[in-house]
Amino acid sequence: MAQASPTSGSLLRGGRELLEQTGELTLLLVRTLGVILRSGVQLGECVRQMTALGVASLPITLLTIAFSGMVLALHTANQLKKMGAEGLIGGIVAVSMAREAAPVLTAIVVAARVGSAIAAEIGTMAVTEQVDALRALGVNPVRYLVVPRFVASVLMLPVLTVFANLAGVLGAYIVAVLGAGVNSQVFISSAQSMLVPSDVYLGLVKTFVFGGIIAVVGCAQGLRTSGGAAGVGRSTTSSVVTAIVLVYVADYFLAEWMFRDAALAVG
Amino acid sequence: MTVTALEYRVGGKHVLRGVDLEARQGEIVTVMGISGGGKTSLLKCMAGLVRPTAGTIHIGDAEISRMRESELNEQRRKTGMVFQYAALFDSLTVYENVVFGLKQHGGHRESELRERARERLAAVGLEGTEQQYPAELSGGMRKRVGLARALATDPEVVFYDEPTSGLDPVVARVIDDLIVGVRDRLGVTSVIVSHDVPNSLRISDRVAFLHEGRIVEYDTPDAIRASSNPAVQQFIQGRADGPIQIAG
Repeated sequence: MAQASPTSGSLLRGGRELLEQTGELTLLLVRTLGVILRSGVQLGECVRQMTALGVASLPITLLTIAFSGMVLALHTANQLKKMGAEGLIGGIVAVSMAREAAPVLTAIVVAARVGSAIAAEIGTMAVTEQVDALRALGVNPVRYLVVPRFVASVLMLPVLTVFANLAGVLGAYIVAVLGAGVNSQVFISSAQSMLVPSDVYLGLVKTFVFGGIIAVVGCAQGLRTSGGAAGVGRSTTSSVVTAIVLVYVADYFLAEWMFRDAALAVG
Repeated sequence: MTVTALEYRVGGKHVLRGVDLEARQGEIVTVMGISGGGKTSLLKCMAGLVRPTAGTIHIGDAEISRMRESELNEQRRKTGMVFQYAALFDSLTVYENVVFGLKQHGGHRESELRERARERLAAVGLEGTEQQYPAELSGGMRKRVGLARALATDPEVVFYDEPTSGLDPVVARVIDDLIVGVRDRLGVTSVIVSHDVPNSLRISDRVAFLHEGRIVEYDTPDAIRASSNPAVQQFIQGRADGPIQIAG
């Protein structure tokens, strides 16, 4: 009988782990939605998490996306100026921000800042038996730990993205108008004419999904943590990596679904 | 509480191989055995925190080993658990920790919660610590808060995981006296896992000895002291030579 090579063995292991992790995340998502439908949410805890996960992420989100807008404008302005089409820069940046850059970059920032914090906090609770203590007191850990973070993440990511859109376009405006000498009125009217409401709201719809991914991945990694401080470190890293990969995968499929018609129309 | 033919396997390892144990109402039962011998797994099975591979666990009329999680959540309100390292919620004050279970399940006014917390903290000698955080407490105080939290819901059975490990002899004695006092005043059944031989033999009504995944001796402290089982004798005398072999 032919023996599996080391490469195929590790591929099989990797595939099995991927399937296990997907199943675990799906199960936690279903349980979370089930608890929300059956028992509702604890409003006070949700508001606390919305402050911790959402409001506290605003400065780093604005800073990151503003600089991303500036870089985008810098490259776009140089190319468009060569073609004498710098008048399009406002529109190109605004549409790119609304459809892709702001939702995805905000999700990446939140995955790094919030997803890791969720995994570390719940992971620490798991290794110090605090999660067991919840269960021993007859409290469902999904209801107490996962639901508030899920609700906060799903609701706050779109809010952060709205501000990120504004910060990104403002950053681009500064570089284009003050740096590259594009006329301010031309920048604004270009953005107004090319950006349609659906670009903004479809971009925001994606962030509900991204918010759910970040929370579920962080909570799942936290709850499965074992092995003391080293285990918490592994869970934290794994939650960020998994969430970012899943955000990009989800982004592709959502973009394919949402913007396909627009892409075909342009094509 | 009755445990019958309990088995627990994890990662291919047979931790419990058919444990039989029963504790009568108001009794203090201690399960002794070496570290890593499955005592905590047994306790977590009895507390409904871990699902056994086989066997049954009856608490009163309820058979908990096959209950769904939602049924277990209801059942767990009738039991309390004191964890080895207290497992207090770091982000909550002592008061919030003590009344956590009651508050989550609802049906109590704030004044009732305050009174219950005051009573339970007084019972463990920690009046006036309500607004402190766990990080501000010593190990012994944390364990006492853990006991107050476990007692806040008026449980019928309290499970103790190594209640005196890591404590100095004086604090360990205080904790042991609290366990006995709680039983005397509230009539709760207490199941303790411990490797602290003198204290276990002093406070327990009956002692079980867990060896190689089975209860090999279960009797009164005097009978355990006089046991002819070489593993029991090796353990209570603290000898390195004997049937209990420690790897490494």
